[in-house]
Amino acid sequence: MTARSRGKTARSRGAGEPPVHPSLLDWMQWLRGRLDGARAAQLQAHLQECARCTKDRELLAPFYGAVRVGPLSAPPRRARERVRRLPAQRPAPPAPARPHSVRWPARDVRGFGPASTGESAMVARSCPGAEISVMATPPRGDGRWRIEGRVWLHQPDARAIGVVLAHDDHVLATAELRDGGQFALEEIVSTGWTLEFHLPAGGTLVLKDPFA
Amino acid sequence: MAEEGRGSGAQASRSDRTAPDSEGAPSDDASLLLRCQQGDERAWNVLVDRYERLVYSVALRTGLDREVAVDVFQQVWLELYRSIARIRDPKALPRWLIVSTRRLAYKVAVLGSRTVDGVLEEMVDPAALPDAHIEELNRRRWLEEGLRRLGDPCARLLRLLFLEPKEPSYQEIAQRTGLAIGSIGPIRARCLTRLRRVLETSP
Repeated sequence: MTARSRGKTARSRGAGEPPVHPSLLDWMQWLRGRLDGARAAQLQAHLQECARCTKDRELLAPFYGAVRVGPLSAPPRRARERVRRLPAQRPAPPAPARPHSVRWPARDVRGFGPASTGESAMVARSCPGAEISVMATPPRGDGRWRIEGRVWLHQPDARAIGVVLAHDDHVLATAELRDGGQFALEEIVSTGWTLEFHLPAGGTLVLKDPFA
Repeated sequence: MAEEGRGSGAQASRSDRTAPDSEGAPSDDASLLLRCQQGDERAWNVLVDRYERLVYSVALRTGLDREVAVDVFQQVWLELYRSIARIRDPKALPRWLIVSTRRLAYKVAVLGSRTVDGVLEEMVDPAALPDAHIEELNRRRWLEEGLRRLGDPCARLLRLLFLEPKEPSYQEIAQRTGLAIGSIGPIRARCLTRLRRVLETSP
């Protein structure tokens, strides 16, 4: 019990009221877990029969949990300003429109090259307005996938293709590619990711984690 | 504690009656995310104001040094900005931010071993993040937001009474606030009532 609350627990008895009203500060000590078991049980029992103290406790409701966490720190101003400028710098990628899933080829268990080593998966596809090729290499101990590829646009001056690496409702990485553009994403991401290609003609090509 | 569960439910239902922003537009998280998708930079700034301390504090508490925590802070906001069109549960945005911060911090810690001395790896492992802790962090953010809106002198008094780690005596509080010792109790009760009203419309 602190100097502030010491001696404040006992109060005069009113007609029809229980004999002792713990102070507001007693409740705070209780919330901080600083009262011994017997005293804490006493306060809990008191609540059952005292509407006034129940109200006191309700007033303190916002502080439950918050007192244990401690103060939150403000970020440096420059970092904050950079974050506030994000919408002015680049548009947010859209959610997949008319998604079309692409299957990875069956793994070649007798062949040569990266796709046959059991370590990487490769796919190449023709789609409306573009050709794409992708190779995904699973993590080697550090949780980091390497997903790389290239796109070719049927009309070289067409709008860029947006590449989005996502997992559930998180976009983890993005790239914008013009004709012949290459990308290499190295991300720590758990299995179940998707790689989206937002095509110049509209629509989205979706590749799912080949090892999920 | 049973009361914590009750408080948590009350907090969830409050988000439906969040006070509008300074220009009368809805300012609950779902409305703000929708406005951000439509290119409303003001809505983005309201979100940043609301959650910047939460994100930065979580980054610091994972054990990263300050410089790296700033990088993680910025990356989390970039991830949110990129993900805005696909957030499935806008009411769970604080959780989304906290978990994302922990994951990014973990990634940075794994790649660069940039934790401060004495911090155990399990502190930055996102899997070791209990729901109760997420709730407490968000509750602290919510309380800080409420106190900011409440303003001084009430906010100052309540901070001294309930949030100051050194737990100053009434005499010290009286000296620091200029209040008479005998008036602290009644003012405290009035301030708590006002805070409660403010928090009812805080997201």
